[in-house]
Amino acid sequence: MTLGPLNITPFTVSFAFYFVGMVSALGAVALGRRARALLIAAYAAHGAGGLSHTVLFLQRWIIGGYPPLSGLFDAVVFFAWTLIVVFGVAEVLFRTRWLALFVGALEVALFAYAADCDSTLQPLMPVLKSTWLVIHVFAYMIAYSIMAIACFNAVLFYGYLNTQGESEQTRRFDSLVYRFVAFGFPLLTVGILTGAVWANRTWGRYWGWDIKETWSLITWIAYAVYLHLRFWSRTWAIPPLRRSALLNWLALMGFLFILVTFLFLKYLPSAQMSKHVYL
Amino acid sequence: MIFSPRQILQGNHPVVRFFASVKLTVTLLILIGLACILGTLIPQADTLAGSPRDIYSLYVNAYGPRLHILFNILGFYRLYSSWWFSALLLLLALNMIVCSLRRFRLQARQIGFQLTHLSIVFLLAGVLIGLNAREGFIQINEGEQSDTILFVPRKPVPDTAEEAEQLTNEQRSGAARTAVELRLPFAIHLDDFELRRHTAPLDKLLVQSVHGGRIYSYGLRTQKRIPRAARQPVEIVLLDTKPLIRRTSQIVERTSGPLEPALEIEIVHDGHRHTHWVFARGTARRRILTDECEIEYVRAATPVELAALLAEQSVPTTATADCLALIRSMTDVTTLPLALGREQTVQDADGTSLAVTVLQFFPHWNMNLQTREIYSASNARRNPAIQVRLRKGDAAETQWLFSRLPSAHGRQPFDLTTMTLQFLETDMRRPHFLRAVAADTTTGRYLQHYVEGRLAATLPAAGDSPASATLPDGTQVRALRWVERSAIELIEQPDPGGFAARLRIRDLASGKVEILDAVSNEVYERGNVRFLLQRDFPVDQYISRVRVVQNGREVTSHTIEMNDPLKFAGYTVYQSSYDTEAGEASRYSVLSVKRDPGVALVYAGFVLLTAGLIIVFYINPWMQKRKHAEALAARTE
Repeated sequence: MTLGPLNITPFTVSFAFYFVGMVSALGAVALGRRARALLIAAYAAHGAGGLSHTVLFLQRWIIGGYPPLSGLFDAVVFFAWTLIVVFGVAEVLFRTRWLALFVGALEVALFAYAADCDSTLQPLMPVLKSTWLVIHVFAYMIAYSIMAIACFNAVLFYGYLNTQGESEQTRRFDSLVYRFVAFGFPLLTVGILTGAVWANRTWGRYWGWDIKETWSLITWIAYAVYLHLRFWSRTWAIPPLRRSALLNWLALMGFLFILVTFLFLKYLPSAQMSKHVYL
Repeated sequence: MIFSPRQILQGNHPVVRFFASVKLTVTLLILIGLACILGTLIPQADTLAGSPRDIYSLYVNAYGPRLHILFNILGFYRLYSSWWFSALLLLLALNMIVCSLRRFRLQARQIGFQLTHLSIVFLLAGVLIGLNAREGFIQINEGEQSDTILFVPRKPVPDTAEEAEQLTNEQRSGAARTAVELRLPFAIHLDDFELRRHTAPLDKLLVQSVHGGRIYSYGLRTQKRIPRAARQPVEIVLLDTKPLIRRTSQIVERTSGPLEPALEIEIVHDGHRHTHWVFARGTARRRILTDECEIEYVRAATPVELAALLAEQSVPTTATADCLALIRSMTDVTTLPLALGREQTVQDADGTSLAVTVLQFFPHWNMNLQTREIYSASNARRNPAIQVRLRKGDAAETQWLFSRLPSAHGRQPFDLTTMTLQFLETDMRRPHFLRAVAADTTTGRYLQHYVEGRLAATLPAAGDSPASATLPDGTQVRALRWVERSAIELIEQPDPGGFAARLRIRDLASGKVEILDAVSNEVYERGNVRFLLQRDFPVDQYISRVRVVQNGREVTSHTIEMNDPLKFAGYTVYQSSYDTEAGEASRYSVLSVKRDPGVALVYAGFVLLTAGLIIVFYINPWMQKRKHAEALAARTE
């Protein structure tokens, strides 16, 4: 493959910083506590990536004249942006060295995916000219990012469980998963509901069982089941560790459902009939 | 045993305990979730286009005849409105109600829980009321009004092939009602429909594998280098773009030069006006004007010559076949029969040999503007067109030629030849035949109108108005301009609807590099890759300006746009569609009308659900934290 001249744009700069952040974070977790410098480098790279990412977002907003939230490229870039912001907040609150690696990897994957998408700033389609859309996408992307972090904590729960058995760490990650899911769930709900209001204003129906709508419901149900089990299954005859494992598995599945809803619905046989799926 | 409601809800009755259990909630949620996944894997009948036969064959090909009948009985093709899915939702609602009532305490920290679960009941109640919602479509022409909405009934899913045939035939013959009409308590008057486009064009390169699949789209304004096209081993680099020059031909009058008499004909039909040329010499002497009418131009220098010409040519019986005319000059014309798919070799104007193939014939040429798919809209000769491929050595090009719109070619003339190509259509006998006659330059210019081969009228020019004939369908044919020394002149003008681009295409497997001068909106194929440079003017807004009329009086008016429906008397009227073939010129608008009294309840449910979840997950934990902190502070004191 031939490489063209490297363009220095906010997009490529963010991409590069996230990559550096991911590699540093990998070094930091591999070397353990000895590699404090590497961990700081990872945070710095993610921070710098986040800054230029913000520039990218604002630049497209100013040039396009509307918040760049629709279209596959902008949706992926905006998700990546809320992810880095939520990651920043989460790290300030609950320092977890591993997150820098996972978030870095997801950022790199998202940017690689976006690089292959059409980034032309297009005039907004008539359907998308709505304030509800802005609320809808904001609520959803923040919720998705929170659920992504919840999923990473669930992965960490499994990681520690398989290597060290039940420990202080597994209990910590188990409780972190719950805190993120509980914080993200209302936002996920607001996302669905504002989407319904928007659909009702545009098409005259608040719910039409479009595959995108249906999968967003499936995702919501997964987290609703998680929360119900979390609240009510303590008295059931399940060993506590089994229960935690089941709950964290649900949090993991929930994020997989999010990815399906967000990016992979185009591979379903019924996608051609959908009004809403990115093709 | 009789229980009071309170006893039932708080007691230990096994039925109550079953309906109040969280295990039931979780089971129902999981079942609903699984059903939803199933519903997205099986294409739902109401989203499918086509006849019952098409729907039947789609399902049978996918699942086989036995499984198909089972799926149909289980309602899998209309899963979300199947009895068992509704039953799951109702059970969930019951579960919510019993849970809420059983756990009801007058406590502040109970509010969130109660609101959240009550909201689901509101939602489901709204949905149940919404099942009786009225929804339909109303199509109104500009300047007209209507109060009739059309419902499209559900599509039946046939169990067997015989049933599919029967239903399809019933629909074809009109025996089965495909739509139901309903009167509104008011009428909607459409003043105007407007499809507003952005003035700035949007240029793109669309790339797809020749095997189909995802269409990759790249912007052309921002980046010059297109990423490795669609993971195919072809690299496309945009070198340069240029405005597209459209070449059209025009007939001009010269003061000197050879005598090439020509007549410009104007046709006014149904408010539309267009012009044609007929020539006294060569094959262009005769031309089909409409489905009903043909014209011929006869030019003679003297009355004697005219008499001889007219005697020689009786009223034509149009027996010759359609042909492709290759015109070198007015007098040097070669005609080829329309042998579809057969390559015919002719001598080009410069003496080289030119291979001509007629690829396709469409009696009613049409293009879907969205997909750019070309098709024949009917079997009637409404807009006959042929697709012609020219080949000279390695170079080849393909064009559409239209017999009734000879100047409307995409890019005329061909690049490979200086000859003008025309599709001449002569195989239909038309009841009306006009003959434009010019005996000399000053007198004797008139039209002869033949009906079914008999001379019906001779129509000379009257004063300032030109000779004109009126056909029974209201079409007016006028002899607009008689030109003695005509010549074809090429006009080149920029075409803002398209653009030309120079591309460098590298086959990464072989390393072969090709420079391609491509034009927009044409599909090219290289290796395994198919691509198209697209110029599009994206839609800015769909606008229907309407007035509501009740008892003959205008009650209110509204400008309906996407996201801005008209609301009146419990009905909501949305912009839905328009004449997509006409695009901007659409003379009608399709509005969807909905009356759903359940929406208020559903929205109430939305508000309650949001409020409940905020209380449960944000406010309650915060209060608890504060209480803990206070307790801790009290203990340390």
